Amino acid sequence: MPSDNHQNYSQSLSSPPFLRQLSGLLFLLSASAAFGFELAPGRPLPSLALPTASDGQPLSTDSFLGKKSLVHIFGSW
Amino acid sequence: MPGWHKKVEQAVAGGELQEYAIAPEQYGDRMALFMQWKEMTFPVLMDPLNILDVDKVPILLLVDESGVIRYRNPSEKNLRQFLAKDYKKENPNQERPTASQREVKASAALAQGPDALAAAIADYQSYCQAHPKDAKSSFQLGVLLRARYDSDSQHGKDFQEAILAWSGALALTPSQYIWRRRIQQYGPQLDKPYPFYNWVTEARRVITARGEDPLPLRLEPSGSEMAGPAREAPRRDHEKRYPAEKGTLPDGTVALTLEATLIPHTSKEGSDGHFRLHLRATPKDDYHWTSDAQEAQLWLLPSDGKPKFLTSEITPLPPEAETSLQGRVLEASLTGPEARGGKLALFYYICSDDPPACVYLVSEIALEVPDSL
Repeated sequence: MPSDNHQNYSQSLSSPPFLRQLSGLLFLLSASAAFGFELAPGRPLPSLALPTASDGQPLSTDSFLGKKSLVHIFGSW
Repeated sequence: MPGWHKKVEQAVAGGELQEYAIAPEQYGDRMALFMQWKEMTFPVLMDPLNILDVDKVPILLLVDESGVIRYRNPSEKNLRQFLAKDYKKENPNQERPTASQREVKASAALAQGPDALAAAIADYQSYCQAHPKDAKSSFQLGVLLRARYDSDSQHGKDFQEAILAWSGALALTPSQYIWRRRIQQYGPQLDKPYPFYNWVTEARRVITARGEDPLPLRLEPSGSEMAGPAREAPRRDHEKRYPAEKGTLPDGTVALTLEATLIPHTSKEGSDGHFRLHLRATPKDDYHWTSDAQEAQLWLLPSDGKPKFLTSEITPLPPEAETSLQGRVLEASLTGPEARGGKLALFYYICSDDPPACVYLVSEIALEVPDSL
């Protein structure tokens, strides 16, 4: 029995070019999550919900959209 | 960082800009105390798992309204240009990358109870076993294990396993300085780039002098976390007399649980085979520490040779408590040859509730140096 990956690959070969490009794009998007983020000019800041230092409640980087931001990435040490 | 906070104060007050931070650090309450000390009130998102995957700090980003990074580590001129420019017209809709499902669950588990943490650890352990080259997951497994070690549901080897997971991750990606710092935070003085949490004492002094109450810490920084760098291993007191020969003192196995962790130097070349020993001693049922007893003594019993005195410094009891049930930590510097095949002997006073009495005991634990260290 073929693996899921094998099946996806076979399907993509028999799909129209547009769908093949789309599946390639989806692969790249999932790979970006798996292999780290690029914090460089022109790239989007990742969407992450993390607990705040003050009360531990989750706060998403999405909640800062709509206004220009200065983002410090730092450690107290 | 406080410098940039000052520079943007006007823009923030005028509504042109907002300010927040992301901290790839293990403990959120320490960051809250740092912010109180520096009188900064913007939100800090804690990223102990380093999901963001930064390899060093500090980093400063200027991010536009739609979440696109426009400058990394900008100059003041860049800041002025950023504030003056209208980015709304030129933003193509970009997909914003996000965390993996495993990371989302792990992040939530750190804030939830012991069951969620145990499930996240089990998930990462099986994933890391199947993907031994996934360095980021190995680091994150270490974070979860250390979090469980700091909780009430710790397993005996959690901290040592965290050190192994972090060391494994760093061996695969030696340039990852956030991971390196996480080991060095607890590691030998010979390996420290700077003291990690010695600022806590000064922060509390300054906050108290302002008439405020310093925010509490759930876990006090250990001696290693407060210690600064050193060029030589600390000298030992060779004059100290071994407190009692074997068999002359009651065995403390019933009174204390001992957990020993060895933290290596992060660079094999510079290590000279030194480890930081972290020994946690936690009273068992019906026993508690007493504040009026003399100091504890920790000795190394090498596989061959005489006992060597290591330290009498033990984390203090909270000042307001007469007695305590909490784990207390002793730390010392050890070399690999000393540790291999050796044992530790801890001499201490402890009190039992039933029958009520305080006794002087000795507890021993064998040192296990993991092969990969």
